Amino acid sequence: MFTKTKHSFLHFALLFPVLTFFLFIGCEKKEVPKETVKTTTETTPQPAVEQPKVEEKKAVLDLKGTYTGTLDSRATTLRITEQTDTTFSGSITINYREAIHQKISGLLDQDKMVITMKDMLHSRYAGTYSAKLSEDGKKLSGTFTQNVEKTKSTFSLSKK
Amino acid sequence: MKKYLALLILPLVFFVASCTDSTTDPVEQKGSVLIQSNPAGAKIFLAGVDQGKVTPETLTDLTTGAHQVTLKLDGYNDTTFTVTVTANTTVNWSSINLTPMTATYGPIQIWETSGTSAAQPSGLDLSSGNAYGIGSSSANRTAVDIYYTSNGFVVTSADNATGLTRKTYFKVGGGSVLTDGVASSVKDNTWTDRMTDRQTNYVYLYDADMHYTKIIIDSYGGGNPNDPAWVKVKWIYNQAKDDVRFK
Repeated sequence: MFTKTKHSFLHFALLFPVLTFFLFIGCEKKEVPKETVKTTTETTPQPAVEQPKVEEKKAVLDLKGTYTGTLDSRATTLRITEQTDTTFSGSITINYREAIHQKISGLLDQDKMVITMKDMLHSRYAGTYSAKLSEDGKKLSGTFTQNVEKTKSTFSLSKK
Repeated sequence: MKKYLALLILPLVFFVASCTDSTTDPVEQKGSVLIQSNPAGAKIFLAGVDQGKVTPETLTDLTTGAHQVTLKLDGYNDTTFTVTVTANTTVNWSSINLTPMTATYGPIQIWETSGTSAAQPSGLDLSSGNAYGIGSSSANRTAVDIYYTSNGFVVTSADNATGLTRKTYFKVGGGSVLTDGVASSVKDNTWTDRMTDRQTNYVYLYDADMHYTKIIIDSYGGGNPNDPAWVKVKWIYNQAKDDVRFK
């Protein structure tokens, strides 16, 4: 009887740590799926939410300044003194023997890098200007067309 | 009888003697004359015959009396005058002032250099009175002395144009009547290379061939789009080198 009891105690003594160990391990193992589930939940891809596009507004070229060159082979100076967004104004002097002094206003199409301008003062020689702007915005090359006689003259001006 | 014979012979001797005298030529009286001119170097012609001499030079062995002398020098008018030769002397004839030959041109129109066609030349040949273009394709462009340029709207020396070499100097004169006969000053370092196209006084020019010219802006116009600027000029060209006179 004693032997049997002793034997049982021995079994118990051996089993207890083992069971305790497994129990402990088992507890640990149980926590793992919990974490896995949690992780899974967190990493589930959310349906793409359309973010409102923030239009990156392209900086408008600063056209203000003095441009010199020739128009119809005559020394010419264009001064752009005012600019609001893509509209601008100023004056132009074309050194014919009887020099032409005109006020101009114009519009910049920055996507196409094109400028259009027109003379603002009444004159038989008044006209319109259409020019291509260089990539750095410092050179204007184009054609001037007189309103009355429709005569065309080329011009090329560079910013000082 | 002998006495009568002597009386007969004596008149005969005198007669013969007188006959002998009458056949002997009289001794010609000769003289000389010194011919001078301003400027010197003129060819001397005597009664139209080239003496092979240039001023200043003495013509010798001339018979007494009047002789016609003509002086000829390139660029100057022929000058004829009469000298009087006296026996056995050398006459120092006063110096003859040669007058320069001049040519008057104009009004001739020249245009600015920009916005013009081949029919609107900018350059002038002062010696011939012709207007020529100054572009590289223009004929006779190398003869151009001055031209009208869009660069500052001045009439300027040809050598300011690309490819042209003739240099002309400018000096504004004191009057506005081209034919007033006023001579130029001698070119010095105060002379410039241009004149404004609105100059109202005449202007003296000194060109690459050392000739003086007296020029004036007669009229002007144009200077607008489709209508290039132009000037019309008149001038007197002195054909004598380095002679400042315009009479």
